[in-house]
Amino acid sequence: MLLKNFLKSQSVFKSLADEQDLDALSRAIYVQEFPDASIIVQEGKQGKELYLLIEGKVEVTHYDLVSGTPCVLKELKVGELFGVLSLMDHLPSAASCVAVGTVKVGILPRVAYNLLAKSSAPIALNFQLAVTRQIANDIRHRNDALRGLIG
Amino acid sequence: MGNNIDFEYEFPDIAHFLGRENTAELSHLMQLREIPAGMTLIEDGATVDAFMLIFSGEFNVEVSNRDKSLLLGQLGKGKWVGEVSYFTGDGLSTAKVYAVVDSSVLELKHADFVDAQTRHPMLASMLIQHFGELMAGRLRNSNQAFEQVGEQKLALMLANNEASIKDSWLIAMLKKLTGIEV
Repeated sequence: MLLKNFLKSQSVFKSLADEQDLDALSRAIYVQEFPDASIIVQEGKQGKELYLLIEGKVEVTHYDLVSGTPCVLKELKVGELFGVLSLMDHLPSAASCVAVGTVKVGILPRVAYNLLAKSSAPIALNFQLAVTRQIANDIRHRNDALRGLIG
Repeated sequence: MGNNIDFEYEFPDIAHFLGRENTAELSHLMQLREIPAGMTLIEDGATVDAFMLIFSGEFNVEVSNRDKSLLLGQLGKGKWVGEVSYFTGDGLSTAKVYAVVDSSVLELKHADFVDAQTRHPMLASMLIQHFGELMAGRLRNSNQAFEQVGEQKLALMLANNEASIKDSWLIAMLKKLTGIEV
């Protein structure tokens, strides 16, 4: 599937309805395949890119200081953005993102991210909405998991 | 629409981030709403139709699951509520928020925010960045609460649904996620 059509089909990008905007964003993103067990985002390192899971499975893992082993926190779904926090706050990634099997990922370089994140052009605004939606979904996901423990 | 509040004076941090022109526009779009003590501003799981910036008073934040509820703490002046509901797209709240004392909020209707994306793109863009940074900070801070309990243990607890509402790490994470604690 063309990247543009993929973007169009994903709910986080629903505000990117304009064909020209979709074309422009598709051109800014390059697609890369990662073999099984590739570490796409490395915990403790500052992120350089924003990632979009196009195909396959990616696990979010965190190194557990208590047990000394990595622990799976979450499995990402196709269409999810990752590597967002580190790009936003310029701090090291809090977790690693690891390929499970071969995965296809869309990569937006930091320079393009910065241009889109700080502009008010329609494409930038819709991109900011997509990124902020992902953060809100992450909060909702974590909140739901935690409140499940209350009952 | 509008209110008589000096937004720059009352919320200097937000005003500084937005800049003078955007601040004036935002203030114009917001309505002051009085919330008497005891009144619920947001029901847990209910639809929320506005971003709300607390102007005065204090609000309790409570999360619940089935018949159990947990009071997380209070939010006061300058704190936003209703932003996660907007950006997740379902409009549903993640907590109950009610006034402890006579309070007031400045409301920006979600519909007006959608309208602002076309009419005032600079303001909309700055607000999205503001909310994005706010929520990113909460996520980042809640990660720190992981350190209170080993991840292996936490994963097991989540899988087996075994934790106590007295567990301090659970309360700490929820407080950070809801912005009560930074």
